[in-house]
Amino acid sequence: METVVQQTDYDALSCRMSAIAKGYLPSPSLQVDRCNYHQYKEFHMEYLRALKSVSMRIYSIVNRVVKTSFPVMNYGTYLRTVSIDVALNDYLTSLGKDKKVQVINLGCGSDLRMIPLLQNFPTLTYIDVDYDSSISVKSKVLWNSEALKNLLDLQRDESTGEVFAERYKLASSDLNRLEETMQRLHDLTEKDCTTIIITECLLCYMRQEESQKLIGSIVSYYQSGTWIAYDPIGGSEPNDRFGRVMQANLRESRNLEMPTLMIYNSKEKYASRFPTTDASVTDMWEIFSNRISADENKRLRSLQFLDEIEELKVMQKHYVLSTASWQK
Amino acid sequence: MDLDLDVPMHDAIEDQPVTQDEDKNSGNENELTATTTSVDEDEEKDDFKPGSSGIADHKSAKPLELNNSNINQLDQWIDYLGKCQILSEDDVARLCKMAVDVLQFEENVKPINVPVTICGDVHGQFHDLMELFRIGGPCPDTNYLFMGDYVDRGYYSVETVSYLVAMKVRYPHRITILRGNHESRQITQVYGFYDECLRKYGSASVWKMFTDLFDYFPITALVDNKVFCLHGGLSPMIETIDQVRELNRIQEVPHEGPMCDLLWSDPDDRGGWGISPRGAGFTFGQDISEQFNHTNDLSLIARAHQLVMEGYAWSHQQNVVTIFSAPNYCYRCGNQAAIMEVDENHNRQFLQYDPSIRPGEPTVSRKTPDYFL
Amino acid sequence: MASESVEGKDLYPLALLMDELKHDDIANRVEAMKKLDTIATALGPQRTRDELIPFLMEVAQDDEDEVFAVLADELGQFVPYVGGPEFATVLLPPLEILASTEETLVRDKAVGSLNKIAEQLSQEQLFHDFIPLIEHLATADWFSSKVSSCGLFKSVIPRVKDDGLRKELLALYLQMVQDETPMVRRTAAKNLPALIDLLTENPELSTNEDWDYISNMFQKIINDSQDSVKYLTVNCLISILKFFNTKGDHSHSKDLLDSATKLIGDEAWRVRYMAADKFEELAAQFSDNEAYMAELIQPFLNLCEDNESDVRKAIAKQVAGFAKLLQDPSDVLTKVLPAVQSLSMDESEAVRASLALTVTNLVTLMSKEEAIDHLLPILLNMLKDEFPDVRLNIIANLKAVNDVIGIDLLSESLLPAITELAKDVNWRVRMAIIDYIPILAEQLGVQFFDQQLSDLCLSWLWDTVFSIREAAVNNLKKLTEIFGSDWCRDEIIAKLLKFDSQLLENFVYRFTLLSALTELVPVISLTVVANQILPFISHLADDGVPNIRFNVAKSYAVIVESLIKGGAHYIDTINGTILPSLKKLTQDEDFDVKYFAKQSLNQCNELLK
Repeated sequence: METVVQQTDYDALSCRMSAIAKGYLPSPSLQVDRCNYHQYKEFHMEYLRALKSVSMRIYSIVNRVVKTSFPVMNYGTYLRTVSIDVALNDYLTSLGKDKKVQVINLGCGSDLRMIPLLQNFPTLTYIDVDYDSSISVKSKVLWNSEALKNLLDLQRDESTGEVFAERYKLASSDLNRLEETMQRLHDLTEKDCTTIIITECLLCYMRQEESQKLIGSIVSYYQSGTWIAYDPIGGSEPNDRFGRVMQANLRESRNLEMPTLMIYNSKEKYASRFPTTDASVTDMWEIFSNRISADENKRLRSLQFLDEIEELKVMQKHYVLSTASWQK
Repeated sequence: MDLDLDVPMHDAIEDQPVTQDEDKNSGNENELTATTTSVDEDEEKDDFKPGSSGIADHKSAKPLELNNSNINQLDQWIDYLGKCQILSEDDVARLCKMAVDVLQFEENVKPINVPVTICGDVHGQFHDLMELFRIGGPCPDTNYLFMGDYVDRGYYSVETVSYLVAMKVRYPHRITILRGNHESRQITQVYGFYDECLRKYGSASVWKMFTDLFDYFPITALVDNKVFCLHGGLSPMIETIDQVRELNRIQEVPHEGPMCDLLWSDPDDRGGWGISPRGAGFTFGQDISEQFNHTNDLSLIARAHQLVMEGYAWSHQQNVVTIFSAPNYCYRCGNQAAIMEVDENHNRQFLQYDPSIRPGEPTVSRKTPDYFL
Repeated sequence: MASESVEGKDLYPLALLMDELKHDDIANRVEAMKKLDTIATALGPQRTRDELIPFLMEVAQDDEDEVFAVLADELGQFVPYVGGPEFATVLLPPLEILASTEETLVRDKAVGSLNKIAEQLSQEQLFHDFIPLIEHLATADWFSSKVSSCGLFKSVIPRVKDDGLRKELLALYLQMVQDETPMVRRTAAKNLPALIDLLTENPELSTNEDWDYISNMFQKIINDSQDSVKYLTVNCLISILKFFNTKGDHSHSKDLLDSATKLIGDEAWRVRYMAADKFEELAAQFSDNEAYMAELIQPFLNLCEDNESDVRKAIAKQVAGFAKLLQDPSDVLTKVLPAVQSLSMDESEAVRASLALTVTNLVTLMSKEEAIDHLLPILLNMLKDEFPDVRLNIIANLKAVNDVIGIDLLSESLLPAITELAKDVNWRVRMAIIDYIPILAEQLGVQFFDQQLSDLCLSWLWDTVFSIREAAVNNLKKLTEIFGSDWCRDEIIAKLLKFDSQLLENFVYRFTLLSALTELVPVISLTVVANQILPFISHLADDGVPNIRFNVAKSYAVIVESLIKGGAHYIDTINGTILPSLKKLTQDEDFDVKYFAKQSLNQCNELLK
C-alpha cells in the first residue's frame, strides 16, 4: 500500500510537468502577478533534469505522460495547482510579510511550492513531510542539482545524509503512524507559531480513523493556523457513479484504495472532517466557472482545443479545495 | 472567436518569452519541449498532408460492387474484428480503398428509411459497441445510423473504426456512418487515435489511411424526410437542408464555416447564436431549432457530440435530441449510454445501457493517469 | 548449414540489435528485445556468451521497465542459446541486476527466470553460483534486492542435503522476515508457506533445528507491527499444520490452535479477514480432534458478527464448508444456523450475496424435517432479498435443496422471486434468470410450469433488449426439448400465432416471432412445421421491411432442412411453396434480400440433391 500511495506522486508530478509543457502553468495573472512566483517553469525543469540522474525510471514515467496527456487533465491540473497557490498566497499575505509562519506540506511528494514561498516570505519556514522513500528521492534530486541546491541554500549532514536549509526541512514519516508523525513535527516545528498545513491528495488515501486522528491531533497541537486541502469527493447524488467508478478503477488498475471517498462524498461532508466551524469547501468546477477571469479563460482556450467540456465538468465537480482555520 | 488552431499556439509562446528561451537551452529535454509545438510541426510535414495514404488514388467511377469474393473477404474481416483483433496494415489499405468507393457516392445528406436505430458517440470503446449491438440487435438484422466520433479517448479506436467501416462496406444499405468532429486529422493527434495507431502498427500509415477515408464520410442524414441527423448541430450559414447538399465535404474538417459548425455546434438554453466554449462551432437556441425544423418540415434534429448522463437528453422542447452511446465515458464518467430506435411507424424508443462486463483492460503498465492523484 | 549462415552474417545481428535498442521509441526497443532468441540463434552459443550477454548486462542497467520486463522474461528461456545447462550460470549476472530494479513487474519476471534456470543447474553450479547470488541479493542495501531474494530460496532449499548449509539459508531467510523494510518482511512472509510446503513434500529433509528457525519466523510474523505483514501468518500457519499433520505429529497442535484463535481475534481487520477467508482450510487441519473443533466454533461465530463487512463477507462463504467439518450434528443446528440466520439479514448486500452462494449446501447436513423447520425459512427469506444477486445465487444453487426437501415447499416463494428477477431493470439479471429456467423447468415439472411460468417465458420475447429476446427464443427451444413437441405446439406455437396484431406492427416483434418460430423448427414435429409455421413465415416474405424479408429467406433453408427428413411427403410443399417464394426473393429490389435469398436457394438445392 505504501508504495502504491507513494507512486501517486509521479502522477502529480507528471501532470504538473505536462501542464507546464503545454503552457497552462505558470498562469501569468494568477501565479506570476498575484502570487509573485518566478522562474516557475525553470525550477520545475531543473528538478526534472536532476530527477533523471537520480531515477531514470521516474523520469521516463513523467516524460511519457507529458507526451500523451489530454486537455482535460491539463485543465484539471491547472485548476488544482493555481487554486492552492492562490489560497496559500492570500492567507500568507493576510498575515503580513513579517509574521512568523510555518508551512507544513504533508505528503509533499515532489511538490516544489517551498521554492517560491521561501523566496517571497522571508520569515516563513517550510517543512516537507512524506514517506521515507519519497523524501529520500526528493533530497537526492535537490542535492544533485547545483541550481536548486543554491536556490534553497541547502546543506547536508554527512553522517545521516539528511538535506536541509535554515528555513526548510525534509522530514520522513508514514503519516498513518500518528505518534511518529507528531514526534517529527514536535522536533521540527513550533507549537505556538502560526501554521499552514497543506494536504494535496493525502487524506483521500488514508483510512477514516487514521486521517481524522491526524487532523484532530494537528489542529489541537498548534495554537493557530489554517488547513488547505485538495481531494476528490465521491459525489452524493443518487445517480452519481463517478466516485464508485473511480474507486473501482484505481483498485483494479493500481491497487490503490480511497477509503473515505464515499464517506466524505459531498462538500458539506468533506467540510465536516475539520473540527473547525468555518471550513469552506469549493469544488473545482465552481472555481473554473466563477474565479477564472474571462481573459485567463481565453488564454487557456488558446493552448489546446478543449473538446470535452462536459467531461471536464463531471470530473471537476468531484474535486474540492477546502480551507479551514483555527485559533485557540 | 478563435477557430484557427495554429494561431493560439503562437499566442501561447509569445505570452511566455522566458519559456521559449528555456526550450532552447534544454536540448536534452526534447520530448518535453517538442510537445508544445508538435501539432504545428506535424501539419507542416509533407506526409501528413491529406491524401498521402494513397487510398483514394484510384477511385472507381461507380459504387463498389459486392461479389462473392469480396463478400467473403469482408465477412472474414468482420469476424476477426468482432473479436477485437486488428487487421493487418495491408488489409486496412484494402478496406479503406473499398470504403472510398462506397462512401464517395453517398450524399452530404444521406437519405435513410425507417426502421433504423440511431446511435451517438462511441469513442473507441469497442466492448461497449458490442454491448450496443447486444441491446439493439446485430447488424444487418437491425439497421443502424451512427452519428460520428468513433475514434479517440477509448483504448480501441482502431478496432472500433475498422469494424464499423467493414460493416459499412459489407452492408451499405443497412448501416450509415456519419462524420464526427473527431474524424479529423487534427483532433485525432491530440485525443489518442494517432498515438494508438502508432502503438498498434508502429507507424502512422494506418492513421493516414483512416483520416483520408474520414474525408469521404457523409456529414448528415435524413430519416424519412423527418429526422435530421448529424454529429454536432446547426450553423448560422445553413438555413435549409439543400444548402448542406451543396457543400463540398470531401476535405479535412475546416476550422470554421458551415461544415465545421455541423460537426461542432451544441444546442443551448440561451436563444439565438452564441460562442461555443469548445473553440469551434456555435451554440444555438430553441428559436433557431424551431425555425430550422419549420423551414425544412422536420419533426426532430437528432445529434450526438455531448456527454449526457442518461445517455440521451431532450432539448428545445423536443425539437432536438442528444444521443450519446459511450457508457461510462472514458472509463470514468459513470454515465449511461443510449440508442434511439425509430420503427416503421416513426415511433421512437430509447434504450439505455451500461458498460459491458469487460474481462479487464489489457494491463497498460503505465497509462496516462485518468485522475488527479 | 546453420553454422555457415552464422559465419556469413558475421556481426550483423548484434549490430542490428544494438541499433534497435538505441531507438528513441520504446516500442521499437521492446520489439527488438522480443527477438532476442532469434539473434542468439544466429550468433550461436559461443558468441551469445561472449558478446550478447555482456551487451545485455549493459542494457539491464539503463533502459525503461518495459524493456527490462521483456529481457527478464527472455533470459529465462536462454539456457539452450548459451550452450546448455553447463553454461547457464552466465545468465545469472544480468538477471541479478534485473532482480534488483525498483519495478515489481521486472523483479518478478527476473525471479521467475532465475528459478527456471535454477532447475537446470547442477548441484555444483547451485552451490558455486546460485546460492551466492541469493546471499548477495539478501544482504544488499537496497530493499528491492532483498525482496527478490525471498522468491529464490524455494529453488534451493529442497536440494540442499547438507544440514549445516540449509540451516545457514534458513538463518538468512529469518533475517528477511525481520528486515526493517515492511516490503521485505511482507515478501518473506508471503513466500514462507511455499518453503514449508516443500519441507512437507520432502519429510526426510528437515531437522528439528530447521523447525526452530521456522517456528522463530512464524513468531516474528505473527507479532509483526504491520497488518500487511501479519495477515500473511494465516497461510504460514496452514502450511505448518499441514506439515505436522502429514508427519502425524500432534505435539504442537494445541499451540498452533492458540495461534489460530489469536489470529481470528486479531485487532487488525485485515488479519481477521484473511483468517475468515481461509477458515475452512484452517479448520480442516484440526478436524480429527473433536475438542479442538469445538474450540473453533466460538471464534467462527465471532467472525460472523465482525464489525467489518469484508470479514463477514469472507466468512459467509465458508459457512457450509466449516459446518461439514463439525462432528456433532447438533452444533450445526444450534450454533451455525443462528449465525447463518443473522448473516442472511446482514446490512451489507455483499455479505448476503456471498452467503447465498453456499448456504444451500447446509441442507445435506441435516434431516429433512430439520431442513424444513430451520433452513427453509432462511432460504425463503433470502429469495425475497432486495438485492438481485442474493436471489440469483440462491436460485442457482437450489438443486441440493430440491434433492432433500423437494421444490414444492419452496415454490410459493420461488415464483415471486423469479417474477421479480424477470422484471429487474438490469437486463443482465433478467438474462441470468432466463438461463436458470430450463433447470427449474426440469425440477418443477410440466404442470407447475404451465400454470406458473409459461406466460413469463413468452413475455420475455417482447423485451426491449435484443439479447433478452434472443435468450427468450433459445429458452423456448430448450423447454421444447424438455417437454416435447406436442407441448410446444399447444402451449407455445398456438399462443405465438395468436399474437396481438397491433404489436406486430413494429418490425422488431415480427422479427422476434420469425426468429422464435425458426428456432423451434428443428425440435418440433414436421406436421406443425408444415401446417402452422410455414404459412406464417411465407406470409412475411412480402413484408415491407427488407430485414424481415432476408430473414424469411434464411428461415426457408432451415425449414427445408427439416422437411426433407419427412422424405417424399413434403416435397410438394417445398417445391410448391418454399422454392417459388425464395426465387421471388432473389429478384428483390434490396441487395441484401437478393443476396441472402440466393444463399438460401443454393443451400436448399444442395439439400434437395
